[in-house]
Order: sequence, then C-alpha cells, then structure tokens
Amino acid sequence: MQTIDINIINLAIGFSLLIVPVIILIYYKTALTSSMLLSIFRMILQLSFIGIYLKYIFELNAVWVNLTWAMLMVLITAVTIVKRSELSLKIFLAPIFAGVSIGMLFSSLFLLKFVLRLDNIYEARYLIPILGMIAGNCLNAAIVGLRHFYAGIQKDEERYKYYLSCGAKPSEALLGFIKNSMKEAFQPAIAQTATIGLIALPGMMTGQILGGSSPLLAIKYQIMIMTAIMAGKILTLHFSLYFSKKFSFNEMNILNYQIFKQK
Amino acid sequence: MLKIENVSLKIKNKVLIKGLSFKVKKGEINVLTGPSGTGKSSLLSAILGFIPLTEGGIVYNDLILNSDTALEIRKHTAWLPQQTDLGINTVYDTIYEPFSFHLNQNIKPSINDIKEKLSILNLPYNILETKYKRISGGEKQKILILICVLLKRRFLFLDEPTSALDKNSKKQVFQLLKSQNNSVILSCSHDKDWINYCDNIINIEK
Repeated sequence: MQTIDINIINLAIGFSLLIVPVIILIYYKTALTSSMLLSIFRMILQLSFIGIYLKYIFELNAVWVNLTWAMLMVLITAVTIVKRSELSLKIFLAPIFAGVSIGMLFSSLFLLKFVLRLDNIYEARYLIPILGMIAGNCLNAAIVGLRHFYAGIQKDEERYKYYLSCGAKPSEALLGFIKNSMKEAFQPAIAQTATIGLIALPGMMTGQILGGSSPLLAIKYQIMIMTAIMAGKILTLHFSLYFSKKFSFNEMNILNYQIFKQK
Repeated sequence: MLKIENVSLKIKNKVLIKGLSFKVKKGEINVLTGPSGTGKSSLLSAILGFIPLTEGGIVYNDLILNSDTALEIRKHTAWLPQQTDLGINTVYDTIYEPFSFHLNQNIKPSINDIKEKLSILNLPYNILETKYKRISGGEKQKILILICVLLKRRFLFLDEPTSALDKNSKKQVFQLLKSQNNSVILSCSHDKDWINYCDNIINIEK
C-alpha cells in the first residue's frame, strides 16, 4: 500500500475546514480567534522545521548526530520540566536531566533493542520518533509529579517535621509525599491506557494505518509504545524525585526554600 | 539532661530570643512561658533542629545538636506540634503511623497499652475507629500526646499542649505525662492552669 501524498493545494483546502469554526469563535466574541490562528501558524512553522530537520537527519543517519539530537531532546525535556514545575533551573537542571535520561533513554533503547531488534538502535528513523513520543508523555507525568511533591511538602511541612521528630529517616518521612505525587502523576495514564481503543484511536496507530500499515501491525507498535511510555513515565518521575530530593533539603533535613523559582 | 546554652534566635530579621540559657532535667515537667510572639514555639522548633540558631548551642545529654547529630538526636525525641492536623485516615492509623518507621518497629504498642492510656485521658475506645479529621481539636491534642508517650522517648517537646483542652482534660494530660519520669519534658504555654501544674517555669519574656 502506498501513502497518498498531500500537495500544497490540498493542504490549502484542508485549512478551509477552519473557516466555519473561526466564524463561530467570532460570533460568540470569545476573543480566541487570533490566538487560535496563531497556534495553527506556530504548529505549521514548528512541524515544517522538524519535518525538514528530520529529513536531513534521516538521510545523514550518523550515530553521533542521532545521539546528539537525542541528548538535546532529553535536555529540552529536562529544562521544560524544571521550569514548569516552578523550581530553580540552576539547582535542578542536573538532577532532573539525570532522571529524565534514565527514564527516557532506558525505555526507548530497550524497545529498539529487544522488541524491534534493530542492529543499529541509534538509527534515526526509529530512535527519534520513539524518543519523541516517550519524551512528550514523560514530560507531563514528571511535571505533575514534581509539582505535587513540592506543593505537598510546602503545605504539609509540619507533618514532615513531625515524622522526623518521631525518629523517621528522611526517606521515611517523605514516603507519603512521594506516594501522593506518584498517584497524581500516573492515575491519568493508567485510566487512559485502560480505555484506549474503546472510543478514540491513538494518534500513532492512526498515522501508521493511514501510512499504509496493516491494522494488526499498527496495534503491535501501539501496544509496545504505550508500554514503553508507561515504563518511561514511572522511571522518569522516580529518578527525577530521587536525584532532586538530594538538593531540596538543608543539612538539618529541612526543606530549602531557595529551590523554588524566585518570583 | 537538656541544656540550652546562650541561645539567640532570629526569624525574618527579627530577634526573638537573645542569650537564653537554661537546663531541664528528667522527671520534671517544664514549661516555657511568656507573651505571644516571644518565640516559645520557635525555640522548641530550634531545639529539634528545624530552625537554625543565630548563636549558642543545644546539648542533649552529651550530644551537641548539629547537622551530624540531628538524625541521631531525633531518635530520642517526640514532639507535639501546635498544628494538630497531622492524622491519616483513622485515629488507629494515626497512632500506629510513627511505629511504621524502622526505628520504632520494635516498640510498637499493644492495643491494650493504647486502651490503658486512652482511659487515663478519658477517651472512649471507639475513638480508634473514628476518622482523625472528624475528632475535635482537644481530642487531636490528646491523641498526639498519647503518641508522644507511647514512643517512650527521653525528650518530649509539647507546643501548647493544653490550648484546646478543658480543666479536667489538662489534669488527665498532666497525670499521663507525670508517669513518664524517665523523660525530659519541655512544654511551652501561656495557659495559667498548665503553668500551675508544671514543676519548673522558664520565663522567656524579654
């Protein structure tokens, strides 16, 4: 089966889908029209850039370029996690980078090596898209988890101190906070995984089917990628918390407020 | 013995305590007193190493409190914080929570032990099955004091232990604590009834 190409004219026709929705937004005076159009414009620009970039990377397919690109993805993911968790970049970039590296790279490379059994696991057309899908998902889980963890300790600092005063090791006093942070971070993914395919078809699988793959092949990829995403999320948050905890408390084991982004 | 040596405490650039020294011995119930805002609670927090001292030192028997000894010292402490919303799930779970920590696993109290102490505090046994957040402020205070006693620590710190208690309850709490004659007990309070019960009064009025 051959994938049908979309030419420029057809792309333009595709955008005409937005005419009526734009009228609706204007009619209700939502003030969303310009931001919606801007978001579409940004999407076009960003994806075109990525498309062109990936095209060259795929053609070049040099291990060191692919690895540099992969590490860059990890770095951008780590920076985004720290910033959106409202933590100090200076203090947390290194620990979160370490956590994200373990979570993302382990689950992606495992998939490529032991499931797809690639001879060259650094092959661009496999490594980059899979890492990208895992990155996007790990990012959300890590942000939700870290925000919840630090907000929890700030809110319930008295409880944390109370446990310390009862002779708890710092890791024991933090256990409940980590448990809550993980629940918040993973519950949506668990619910989503449990209902996948019942109503909505996942994007990657739809893309593969449109691209000419058989549905059975597409679901196998989808199942494996969902599994890798779940593993990646849990590993990323676990290691991000593990490393960042070491920078979050003073020598008397009390939360150091310098770790929060100064407003 | 607990020694407070020439302690000064500054919070948010405000000097709360300057050059305070005193000693407290085991077997006595001691109370820090003084008007609100003089730093009584902050001093208790500092004694546990939760707030840094500006000057001076805290000595537990032979150990000076610092970053190397804090965790070791906290193996011998129990604390009733002013804020008592610390429970999880039921009162029973709240009582047993500190005994889930490695250090306390072999001193886990029996249910009879708990019941005996509940009756000293005049609390009904069925309070154990009640959700912690549903019990009254006074009951919360009593339950947290009960935990302090069950932990059998050498040093007990009680921040306003009677702020939500009536006269009878204060007496019950005093009786329960008085039986801990192997512990150094330091409370802080401005409750006249409680101060009258205590063996030793330390006034930190400036």
